Amino acid sequence: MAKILLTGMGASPGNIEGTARLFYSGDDPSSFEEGNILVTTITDPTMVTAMVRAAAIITDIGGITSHPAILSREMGIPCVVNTKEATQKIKNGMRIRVDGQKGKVYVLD
Amino acid sequence: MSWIKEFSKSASNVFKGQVLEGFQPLDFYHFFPLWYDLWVASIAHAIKKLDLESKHFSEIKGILPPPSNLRAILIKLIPSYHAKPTENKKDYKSVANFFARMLKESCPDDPFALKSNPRHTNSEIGTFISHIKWNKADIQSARKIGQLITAAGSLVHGLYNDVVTDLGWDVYGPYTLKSNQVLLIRHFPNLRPKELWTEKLLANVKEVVIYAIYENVLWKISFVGCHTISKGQSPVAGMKKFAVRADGEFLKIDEINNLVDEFSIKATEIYKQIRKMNFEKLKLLVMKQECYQFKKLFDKAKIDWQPTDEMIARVKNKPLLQGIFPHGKLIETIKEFEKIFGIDEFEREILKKFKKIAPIK
Repeated sequence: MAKILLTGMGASPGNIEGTARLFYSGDDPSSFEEGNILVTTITDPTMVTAMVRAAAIITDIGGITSHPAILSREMGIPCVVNTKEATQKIKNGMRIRVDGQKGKVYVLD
Repeated sequence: MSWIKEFSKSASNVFKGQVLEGFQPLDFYHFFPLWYDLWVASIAHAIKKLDLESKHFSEIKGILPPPSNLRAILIKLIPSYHAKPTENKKDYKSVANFFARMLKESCPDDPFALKSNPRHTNSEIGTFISHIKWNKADIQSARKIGQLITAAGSLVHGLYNDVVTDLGWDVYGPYTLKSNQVLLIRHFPNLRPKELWTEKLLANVKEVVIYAIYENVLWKISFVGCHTISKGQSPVAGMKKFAVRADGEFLKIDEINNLVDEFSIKATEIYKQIRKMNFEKLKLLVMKQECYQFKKLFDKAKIDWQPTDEMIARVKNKPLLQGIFPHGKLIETIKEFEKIFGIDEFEREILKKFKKIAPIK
């Protein structure tokens, strides 16, 4: 059963389940698998290749008009920003559900 | 209502849920006040030299940055004065009032983009609808357009930085076509600022325009064009038609694919270079990006647009200011925004001072 893990600001609507992948500025984008959920402090342009492959984006900081929020809406993928501690609470490979409307992240395992 | 109150109502939305550390790659708000008064003085000088006070926006739009860019400069100019008040008050007043007038003339229906960023007449919109080579959108192509916006937007973010983005990325609209259909125009006017970066990091095309028609998607533009906020159906599901024009040519889907790949690679490369820069180099880059916004105006006025020696001396081997703007704090209300960014102070000490006195007859 899904248990709530984080609450942030819903920045781009949609519900999706997938595998979390912590990804930071300068990480090798070729290592980011299509359909993973990108978890980071805040996105920047070094992550663009990973962003276009991501099924959803979760960030520690950022508002409704921040870089990840705007671009997630444009790509039609769920996004939760301003969770404050996503990069601490989410571990690589964790199965999670993202609710981009309510701004909630659930752990599935 | 004074223009600064209208501005404040709209500009405060930029910071809702946002902390200042979210802006990259430098703590801009503690950097600009070190030298901004000198730049404001140069802009005031150019306005005077070209007698722009007597000209309507339509006469001079070719030498000005896009409307969103003017709004973004105001949101730096006002807090810069708050952080480091100078005696240079007349120049601040002249420049701020000039920007406000340009915005009222260029976007009379919503000058500070509280909800929208309209810049085209009904007749121009009619021409777009009838003359553009439209493609029918499906989920796959709509997603590709989203990826193109992501790649181009990220490239702009690197070329110009997080607070000069609007020089390279504006969005116009939403223009209502039918009761449930709207047109949005995304404009990337210059992806080749050769004065800022070497050739290998510049895009192969200079200008990209993306036209998209959506059904049952409610779009709002908040303060600057690239701050698009959608409600209702997902933009990917709601896109009905699209067209992409690069340097005047309409592109096919495989050409759009190529642009996504090229922009993604270049955005990554530029930002890697930025992340590698030492503090001194980063300060100079950000200063140059800021000054570049008025290159066309300064060229016309025959003034060098680049940072002056005096500006550079103000920041060389100097730390950023500290503790003026809060870190880690969400700015949630207009009242908080006005206090933190010194809006009332600017109105009181700048805008309400130096009123023209009628000559004695």
